[in-house]
Amino acid sequence: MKLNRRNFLLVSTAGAAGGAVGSMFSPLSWKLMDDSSIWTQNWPWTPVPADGEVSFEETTCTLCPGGCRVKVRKVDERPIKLEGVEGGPVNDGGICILGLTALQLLFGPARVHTPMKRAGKRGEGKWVEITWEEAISEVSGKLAEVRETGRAQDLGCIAGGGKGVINSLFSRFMEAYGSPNFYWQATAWDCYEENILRTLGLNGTAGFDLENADYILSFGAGLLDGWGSPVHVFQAHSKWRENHDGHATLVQIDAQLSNTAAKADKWLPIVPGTEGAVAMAMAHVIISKNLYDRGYVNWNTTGFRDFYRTVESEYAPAKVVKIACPVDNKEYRKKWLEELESRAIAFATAEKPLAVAGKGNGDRPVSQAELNAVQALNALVGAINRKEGGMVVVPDEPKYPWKPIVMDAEARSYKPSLVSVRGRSKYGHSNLASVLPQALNSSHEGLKVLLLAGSNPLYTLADTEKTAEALQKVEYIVSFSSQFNDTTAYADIILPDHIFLESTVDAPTPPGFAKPVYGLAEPVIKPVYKTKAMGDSIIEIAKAMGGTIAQSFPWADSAEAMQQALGGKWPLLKRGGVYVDEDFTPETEGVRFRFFARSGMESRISIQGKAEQYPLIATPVDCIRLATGAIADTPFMVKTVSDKKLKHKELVVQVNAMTAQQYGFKEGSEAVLETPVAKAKVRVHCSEEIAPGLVGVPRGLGHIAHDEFVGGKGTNYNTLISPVQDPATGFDVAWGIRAKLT
Amino acid sequence: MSGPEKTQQNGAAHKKDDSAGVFAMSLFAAGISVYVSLFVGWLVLPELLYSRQHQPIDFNHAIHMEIVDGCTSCHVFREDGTFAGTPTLAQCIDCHEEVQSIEPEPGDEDYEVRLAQYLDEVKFVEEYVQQGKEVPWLIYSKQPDCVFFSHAAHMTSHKFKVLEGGKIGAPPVEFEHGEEPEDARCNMCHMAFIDGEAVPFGEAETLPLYRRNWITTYPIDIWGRNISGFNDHYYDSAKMDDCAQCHYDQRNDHQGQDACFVCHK
Repeated sequence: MKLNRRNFLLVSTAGAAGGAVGSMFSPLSWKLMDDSSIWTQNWPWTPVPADGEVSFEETTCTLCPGGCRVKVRKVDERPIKLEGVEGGPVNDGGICILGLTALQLLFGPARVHTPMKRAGKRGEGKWVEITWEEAISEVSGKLAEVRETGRAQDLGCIAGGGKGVINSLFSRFMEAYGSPNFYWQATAWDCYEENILRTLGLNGTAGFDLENADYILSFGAGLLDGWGSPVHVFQAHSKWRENHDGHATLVQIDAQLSNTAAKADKWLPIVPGTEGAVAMAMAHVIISKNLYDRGYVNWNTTGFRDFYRTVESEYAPAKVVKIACPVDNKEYRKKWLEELESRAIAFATAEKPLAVAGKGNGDRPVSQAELNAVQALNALVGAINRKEGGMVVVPDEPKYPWKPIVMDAEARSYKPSLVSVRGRSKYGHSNLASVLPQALNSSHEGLKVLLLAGSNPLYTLADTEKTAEALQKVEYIVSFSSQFNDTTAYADIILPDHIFLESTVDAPTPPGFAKPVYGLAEPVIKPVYKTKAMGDSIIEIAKAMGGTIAQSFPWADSAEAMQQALGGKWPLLKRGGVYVDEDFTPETEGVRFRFFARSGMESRISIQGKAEQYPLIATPVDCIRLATGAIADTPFMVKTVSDKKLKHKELVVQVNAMTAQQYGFKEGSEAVLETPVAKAKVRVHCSEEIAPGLVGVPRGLGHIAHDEFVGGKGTNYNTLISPVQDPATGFDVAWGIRAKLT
Repeated sequence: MSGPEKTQQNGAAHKKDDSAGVFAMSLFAAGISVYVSLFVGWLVLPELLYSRQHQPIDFNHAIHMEIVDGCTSCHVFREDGTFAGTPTLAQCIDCHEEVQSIEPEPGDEDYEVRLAQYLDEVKFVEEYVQQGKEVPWLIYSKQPDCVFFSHAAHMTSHKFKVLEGGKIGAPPVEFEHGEEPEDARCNMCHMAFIDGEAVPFGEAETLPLYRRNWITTYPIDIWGRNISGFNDHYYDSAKMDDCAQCHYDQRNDHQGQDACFVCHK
């Protein structure tokens, strides 16, 4: 055989064919095919959860003041899932979207793993890791340095709130240090506390027995948008149908068809900011038709006569309709008026009526005038201090039985606080963080050191630009944030806090809950990173400073301080994690409700901007899917937001179809939303769910820090507005701002 | 003028010889290729496809079975009914906080075997117990994460019948007084392959060689030692088809046990 090209090819082909036939009868190809398919299951990027023993541990969620009992499902030591605890006094098995996804805060990329010191310029995001010893020593050294100048007031602190042991440790530190500049940002619940003190003379929080009420008038309160203790209110909403044979009625008086309004029995659309006037008009109907609870009014109230006169002369529904009805149309107004009257009558004749206020999710303050009016409705129907289905005053926690603060001359000497508003009663100036940027920007002295303990002012305060300007004036900012949030970008040092699952934190009675409840969060997992409980950090700083400040903090850690603070409750909390005062009876003896007459239209809060220049009104939209406070959304939450609020990375604003047409916008049009404070690129969503002339701006988006999943999504509503102070309390009660869309 | 004719005839014969040669050569090449591919597929592949690994500690099941009461004494079911699988260090520490066995002297009976066991225990105590480190056991029955298998259902369900010798298609074993020993069920699926022999784990004095598939990362016990994938016993392999086979074989009394959703919920 001659080995030429042709023969070579023939033999090779035969060989290949033989190989192919042979391999069909060998397991080679079949086995490798099977193995290759299984190999695709095991690509290294395919997440495979570790196997292990499943266990559940209970704790209290402290991500919001809601106080839900939650259980953590763990596989060995790794937390896998959070669920609500059945039988939990506040949430009974339920959990909100933030609590459900809290593990993303624990393991997420925005978490601060270890103490950090700023390396670059403010806002540049360059950090170097330092040890806890270095961090505590640097902060205490800086604080001692400032105090030695004799100007202790140069230290400021913005805390996450005014209640609970951890916040109290910070306010105690400030007092021992000698600075009056301790602040937190007020919510609707601070307004209720002020109102309760003014109208009832009591120190306490408003509690609403929502589940037993049978006719609820909600003046803008987003009961299903995160108001109060959100899970509890959701469950109360379900119980209305069960408890009253399906006769419970919810009337939502709101500028937009919010989720709450959509689920209500009746939505009465109004012009935003006229809630107080509408309440007064309803009071007019109730009094003029003689439907009010005479017994209650005669025996348990004062000032009714003056109130009646004012209501009669100024708040006749026919007058109120002119400012409060959102559509300028004779026929619509007539219908609107009929609706208002019929709802007022139904409210007054219901068995257990209840009126609630608080805008959206309740973390925005409400004017005292508005609260006076809404509470007046409750008084007219005898709902105040009515245990079943009424509004009760849950008394404040007694002062913690800690040893008195050891004061030296510096701590004792008087120093004026940066913020000052006349007529304040309950917390001095403490809950006026909203005024702080303005005070800092106009002050020559300002603050040298600012502690950020559970707060994120750059995100939560109105007018971000002014807040940033104020923060730039502070020499040294210490953040205790567990996440790289919007404000940590301005910090000089971060002492990262634990997440509640790693920490001992107390949870006082949640807002709006009708009984005293105290919860305790206890560590259910070992700290994932080198973080430290914020309460422990401030105790260590105090100890490192020595002298009277160290003497004022005799505890080894914050858990010991908590044990001493909570006294008899502590063993109960350690055993069951939660304490409920089941026998609670609201204080009624000698308690009289004081009607305030001058409210409503005259004291309607004006917002910034001129109508000629800014023909529209931007007003916020809250929703349970987005967190608006110091704790940001989790990545999962952002994913659940509808594209009617967030499209890719662009904020979507809601505009009435008529208004959109008037300004030449279509569904999805790009636009610039401009307010007297700032402008932002947005997209337009045309809708019938908002009155003409309004621009609904979703809150809870537009973080500038955090991770790629939360940061840079949309625009922060607070960048677009500026604060408007309530003349009565000084709280920022801006319910919107004038705006234009171009 | 016969020259050209002759030449032509010679050319034809030559061409014929050449064709036969090419055909023979092709046949030979094909034969060799068939042989090589069969050889590679049946004999070389199984050797190349799987690793050869020894367990970190050569655990002796037989010794332990003398002092405990059945497999589930150590391979426990947790309180919630889930199966814990390989025992954790916490369980071993109960007895092995310190070295238990006595160092054999040269000349003792089974000196070499006992010395190996003794050294294994010393290694276990020093490297794992004293350092609080879990032993990284190589799991023979490791299944993909997507597989849902309930040990509890198989260990407690009266529907599950132990089949004679663990042989595919064999009749159910009738136990005296209905007293079925616990390990009978375990042995239906789990057997130790030592030197080519299937031995119940409880009787094994050594741990089988661990062979991991380089591609899939699963142990050889899942596909089975027969590279063809055809097996005689239920314990030979643990692929989905094997589960299905057993469910099918046990279906007679209990219709529906071979349905997809029995496992795929």
